[in-house]
Amino acid sequence: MLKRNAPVLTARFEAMRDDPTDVAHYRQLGGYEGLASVIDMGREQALDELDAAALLGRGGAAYPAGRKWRHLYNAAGETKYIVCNGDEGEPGTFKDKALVESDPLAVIEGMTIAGYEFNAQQGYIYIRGEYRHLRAIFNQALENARAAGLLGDHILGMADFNYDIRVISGAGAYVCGESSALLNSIEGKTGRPRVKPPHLADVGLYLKPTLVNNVESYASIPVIMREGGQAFRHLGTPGGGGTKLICLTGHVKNRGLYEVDLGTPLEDILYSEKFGGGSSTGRPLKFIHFGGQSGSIGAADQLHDCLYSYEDLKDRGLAIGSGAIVAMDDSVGIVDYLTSVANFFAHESCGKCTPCRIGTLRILELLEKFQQKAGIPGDLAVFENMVTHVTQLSACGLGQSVGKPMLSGYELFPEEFKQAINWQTVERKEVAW
Amino acid sequence: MMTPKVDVKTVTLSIDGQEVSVPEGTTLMNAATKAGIDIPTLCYLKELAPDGSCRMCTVEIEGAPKGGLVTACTAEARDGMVIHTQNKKVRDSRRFVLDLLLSNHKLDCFKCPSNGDCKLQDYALEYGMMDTTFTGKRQATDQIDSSNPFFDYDPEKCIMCRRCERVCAQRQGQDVIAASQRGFDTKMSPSYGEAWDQSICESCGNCVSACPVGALTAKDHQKYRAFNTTKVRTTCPHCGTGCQLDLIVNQNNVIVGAEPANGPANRNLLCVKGKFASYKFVASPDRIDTPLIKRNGKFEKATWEEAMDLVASKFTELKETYGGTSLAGFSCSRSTNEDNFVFQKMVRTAFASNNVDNCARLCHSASVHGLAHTLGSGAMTNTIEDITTDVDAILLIGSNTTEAHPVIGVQIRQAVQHGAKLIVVDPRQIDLTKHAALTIQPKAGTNVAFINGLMHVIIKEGLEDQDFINKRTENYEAMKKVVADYTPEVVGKICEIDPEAIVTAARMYAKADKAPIIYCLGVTEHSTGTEGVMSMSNLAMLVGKVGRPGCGVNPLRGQNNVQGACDMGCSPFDFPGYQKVANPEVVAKFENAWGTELNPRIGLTSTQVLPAAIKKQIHGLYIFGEDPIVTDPNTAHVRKALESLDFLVVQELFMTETAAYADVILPGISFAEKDGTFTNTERRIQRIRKAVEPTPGAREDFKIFCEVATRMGYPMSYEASSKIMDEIASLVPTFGGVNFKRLENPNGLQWPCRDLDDPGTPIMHVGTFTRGKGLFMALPYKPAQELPDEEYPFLMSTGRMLYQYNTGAMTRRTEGINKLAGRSYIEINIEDANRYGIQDGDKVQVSSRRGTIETYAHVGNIVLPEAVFMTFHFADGNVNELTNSVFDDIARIPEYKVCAVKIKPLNTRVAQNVPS
Amino acid sequence: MTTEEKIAIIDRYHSNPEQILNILVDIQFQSEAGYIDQQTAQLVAEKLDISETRVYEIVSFYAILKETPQARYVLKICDSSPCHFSGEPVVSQWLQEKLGVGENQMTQDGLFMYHGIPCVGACAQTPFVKIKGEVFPHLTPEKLEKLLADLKAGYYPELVGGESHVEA
Ligand SMILES: Cc1cc2nc3c(=O)[nH]c(=O)nc-3n(C[C@H](O)[C@H](O)[C@H](O)COP(=O)(O)O)c2cc1C
Ligand code: SF4
Ligand code: FES
Repeated sequence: MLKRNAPVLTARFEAMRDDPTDVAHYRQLGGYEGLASVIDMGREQALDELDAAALLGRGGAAYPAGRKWRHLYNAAGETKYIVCNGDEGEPGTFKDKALVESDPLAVIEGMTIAGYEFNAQQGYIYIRGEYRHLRAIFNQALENARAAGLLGDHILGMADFNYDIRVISGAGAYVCGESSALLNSIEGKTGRPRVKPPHLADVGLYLKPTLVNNVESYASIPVIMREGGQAFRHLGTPGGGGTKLICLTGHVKNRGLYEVDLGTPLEDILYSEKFGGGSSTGRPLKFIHFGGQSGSIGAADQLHDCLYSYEDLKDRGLAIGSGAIVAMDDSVGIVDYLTSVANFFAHESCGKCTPCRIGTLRILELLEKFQQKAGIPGDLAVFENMVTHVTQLSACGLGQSVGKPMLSGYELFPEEFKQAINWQTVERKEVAW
Repeated sequence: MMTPKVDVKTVTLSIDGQEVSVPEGTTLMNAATKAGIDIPTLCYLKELAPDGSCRMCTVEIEGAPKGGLVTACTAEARDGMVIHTQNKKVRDSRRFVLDLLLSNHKLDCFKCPSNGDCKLQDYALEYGMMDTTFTGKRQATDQIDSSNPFFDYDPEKCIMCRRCERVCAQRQGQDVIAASQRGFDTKMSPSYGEAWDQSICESCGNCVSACPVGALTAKDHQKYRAFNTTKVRTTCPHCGTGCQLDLIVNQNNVIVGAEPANGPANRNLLCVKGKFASYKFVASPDRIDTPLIKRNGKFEKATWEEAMDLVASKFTELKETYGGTSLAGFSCSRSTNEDNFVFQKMVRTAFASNNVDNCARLCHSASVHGLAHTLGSGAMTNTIEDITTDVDAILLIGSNTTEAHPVIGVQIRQAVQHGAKLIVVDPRQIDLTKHAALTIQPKAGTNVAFINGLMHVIIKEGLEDQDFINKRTENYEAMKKVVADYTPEVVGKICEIDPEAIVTAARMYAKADKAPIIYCLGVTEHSTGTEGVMSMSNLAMLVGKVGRPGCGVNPLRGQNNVQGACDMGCSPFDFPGYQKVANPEVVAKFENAWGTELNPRIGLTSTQVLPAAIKKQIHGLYIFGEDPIVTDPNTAHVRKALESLDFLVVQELFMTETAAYADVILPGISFAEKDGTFTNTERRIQRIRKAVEPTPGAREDFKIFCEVATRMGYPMSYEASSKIMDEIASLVPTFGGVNFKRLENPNGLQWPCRDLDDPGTPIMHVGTFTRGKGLFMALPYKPAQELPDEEYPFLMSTGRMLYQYNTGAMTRRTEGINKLAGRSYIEINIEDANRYGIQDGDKVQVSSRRGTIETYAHVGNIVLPEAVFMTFHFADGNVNELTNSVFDDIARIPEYKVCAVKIKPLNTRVAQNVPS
Repeated sequence: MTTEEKIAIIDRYHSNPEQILNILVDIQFQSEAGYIDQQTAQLVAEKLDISETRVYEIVSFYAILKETPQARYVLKICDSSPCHFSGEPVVSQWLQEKLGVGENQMTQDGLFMYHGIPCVGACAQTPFVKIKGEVFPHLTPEKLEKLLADLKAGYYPELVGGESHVEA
């Protein structure tokens, strides 16, 4: 039974600390019951459970897993691939690392359920280059699962259940977290995004229908299948079921990884001793950056009654994203902060499309000018316009996300931007766009 | 992969207020094009999947999420969509993109060769963005790489549309340039930023043609601006692929460049010769510009009147003294169908001789004979496009396609990229082996055994197409009996290959649904060349792969118009259209048409004419545009033959080795100075068009022949080449529907094209063979005539390389070509080289029983040990001093591909240490 | 590093193009100068049956891979916002002082170099430096001093509390 406010995804972390790859131990703790249930209930029913669970993708885009699985289920083609996105590149996020490191078999079970569901032969997990050391542990877990007949040929003795998983390591490129770039990278190519359409569920890895989900999403699958979709949903809110792994960083006392029920009050997360424990610097928290660099920023003092749920955050123009929660105290100026964010985008742009390749740098340059308080009248409109254009014109989610932190930060603290302008200088010529 | 045809739904949408209906899945860009609305783009190339990277094609979908902006090149049309392509939001977006691009682009339009020829400039003007509003970081200055002899690369002008990369990787299949780094620092560059001339670049220039701005520009382009030129669509004068191109002509009547055009054989691609070496020779100062008459061993300038008078009177005299059969003519397979037709007509009427031939004798006469004998028609059965798109396997035998027929070669690379399994059978490890699923390197001269081996396996494993054999062929049992002995083990020994490879190849070819055989001179240029060709027919018929798309037997013809020269009857056996001299009805037909009596006896082949000259049976020879001293085997023998003649006329553009032996030299004109047609390897008749006025002093070739014939008593004249084609159409049934007006269609016409309603024939032998039933031939293997022995331990083959063309008479006039490939060389295996103490680049002496030359060693593993290879393009180290003038007894084709040689290092470094 | 050793690494991954990043990173981490030179790229291209151009594209694209010689120890400092505003600049300033070189410059002895990298998921342990795959967390000036001294002495310490996994 699932209980509220009790660990679900991290439930085994402590117990399996000595050897997180031990299959027998994993099974004692409920492991592989999810797979058994799916085989029991059948594939169609599994899709219904997933819908009922209201699992929103944990990689950041919050796309309903049920809908994605159904699309792949209906996609034509015999060969389908299962891909687990462990690129975890959003600054301030390290929850997938924790799962891969402390409960790899849960991820494997989730991917195996997907393998069964779609009759796939091959799954891949892409682990970011910065986590190369996790390969050993994950490979050990795969080896143990194979030895236990839970991967490889004739899984659980079933004649036509043949499925295995391969580990691929990245080498330092945030954009490889973007699903199509991820697939290119797995194919041994440079990780630049592909043109869409077609949808990856139709034309994915090696041009075959492919499922791409996040590590945490996969880890949630066995729970849903074992406990039922409804039970999972009840942990969360109507807008999204389950628990969420969150990463608290920045100026909070207790930086680190936590698991919370979706719908937990944000104040609890930031200030209760159980979680963040409030400011680490003695200065009040000023703003919170949600979901990584590509997420929006909220002002700390406007979030008193906000629940940490998909719908509550959405109402305030915010999003859960990857689960990163970066808290900044009032010593941090918004212009400085956004300059650092812009630096990240400019550094990580793959360089393929014009607005992102050149635009992210031009945004960074303008913000650096603002840092020097060297803006001129007219620059603020240009800033806003530029960010909007880059966001609207970029080809993939990277460039398209620039607007979220930039515009939310700008709207929250316009005064700080105005102070970056030298109002004595001549107004800049109006730009043509 | 061909997806089964399903009914595609039609969707209707509105674009700028205009309703358009398109099939579901159509991109907005294509839908707009259909509505006649132009959408700007910098990265889109219609031959390739959209890249969606420049973002210039942004349009607005009313009511769509995220501001409604999408890229028209990638977004698909849906029912009921309302699209705006020119509203303020869209135009602002494009202005933003342009502003960004301009902020990282060298803005010196006036100095830029692409001024007037630049899409960025065009759009900047159109959107009023002549300057950038951004300051900040830029691409570093002064990075121009001008190491390639034909083009320069300036990263400061690059807009990262990646057209060059995509063309190079996906169309040329070479993959030289890629986007390195990322973000703002992204830069197109060859591997590790190396200079172009250090990279694997083949200088095809397709990236240069695709570059929408001035980042990649032809060096020749620095001398003109697009707005001061005109373009003339024509056909490339080099190999038999028949690429369409536009010659760029400046105001001074000089051709300054070439651009690929969307021809059916090349679809906007060219090779280095077409792109950079197809025009310089036209205005070369070496062009002969007046008739020359040899007096006392020296050439003196003469008037046309003098020259014509001398030629006509001398030939008349010889004809009267020794009879018409003492005269002969070699026609030019580089020239037009019309010239070739008139040339053979002159020989047949005025000379009263059938001693007319063309250089096909030396390359593909075996194909003409072998295929005509077995299938009924001596030409490629399918089209280039057909055998390189949507095929499952390709059996490539004796064709170094990427060098000899580069644009077909790259289409084979593309086929492999799209999933075709390539089987390369070649004694050398040619470039395409890099793309091959299976490479087999048999000993040169063992093709018949090899094919018998494949057929043995196919029959043994029951992979033959019994139904096809029963219904459409004859003489199967005889063939089957012969190949019964050719087990993989036996053939493995003969060919010196792994027997397993024969089994694998047989299965791959036989089991593939669509699999063409593509072959070239590696099959024909043997003393058993015709048998080799007939083996190709055997194999294809055995598995029923003839008369179907994606299959067939496909010889790649060498010269731009060698197919046409054969079609036009420049052959001792055939009147135009392969109508047989041996057939009295045919002779009567032509006598009737031409109003004169004709010689009813078949003539001598060019390879027979030369020995006949030595024997004083041939006294007068008219050579039109050929250079037998360089091209024919056993040069010493050729020299002797030419010296034995009483009278030799050479009609040429340049002073060639052969022309030096002439009594009279007549200056003809080049492909760029005349109208006419070439027929490419796939039987496609295509136009060439006059781009510039002829070199003063030179005359149009067919007019010279008319004049000679007229002065010899057979009056002949044509107003224009189109009239010659009309006569051809009236006399050659397979050309019945061909005329210049129809040839204005960019696809030309593929013969047979029998009447004006006949669209031409892309695939031959559908349903029935030209000869009725396909004929299997029982062909035992015969070894080549001269094999290595103790004294001459190396087996030498000859062939072509990418940069030069044949004798180099045209290509050598382009300096950059000589920079890339300026001297002869001999490929030798590293093992042998080590044994002989030869290092790469060393000078070596090569001798055969017929001669000795000096050349440079090219050490590597392209050839196997005990084999060597030379090209025949170079006058220094002319390999034909060495080759063996033995012939196939059917087609009389020489055995260029096999002779025995020995090698002596002329290693100066070693020599210095030897006391004299 | 010998060609044989490189080939051994490639073989360990069965010359599988899917594993090109692993192959390249393994070779780089074991090479003396810490980068992939053109010859190595050619070798990898040949063994994996892809073009050298694509190998180079990859080497130049992925941040962990280097195309120019690196110092013996490259100290990587996270400069993403969570770390950047939580003490990381102290580390870079301190390194600049101690090593006397700017970002991305090698010390004269060829031993050290430092530069910023984006988040590596160690934001809860900031300030830290990362060397190859290893994170040295919760740094103080004293700890940094000791780390540099140890590295100079050729001793590769494993600090407690962080991730200490030397690459296989
Ligand atoms: C630039 C960019 C980076 C991304 N990085 C990651 C990542 O590191 N991990 C991840 O799971 N999803 C990432 N995503 C989201 C994925 O594209 C995709 O939505 C996700 O893997 C799908 O899994 P989910 O539905 O389970 O969340 C990224 C998206 C973009 C545009
Ligand atoms: S938005 Fe940025 S990361 Fe995405 S394709 Fe364009 S350049 Fe690459
Ligand atoms: S043409 Fe569409 S993005 Fe370039």
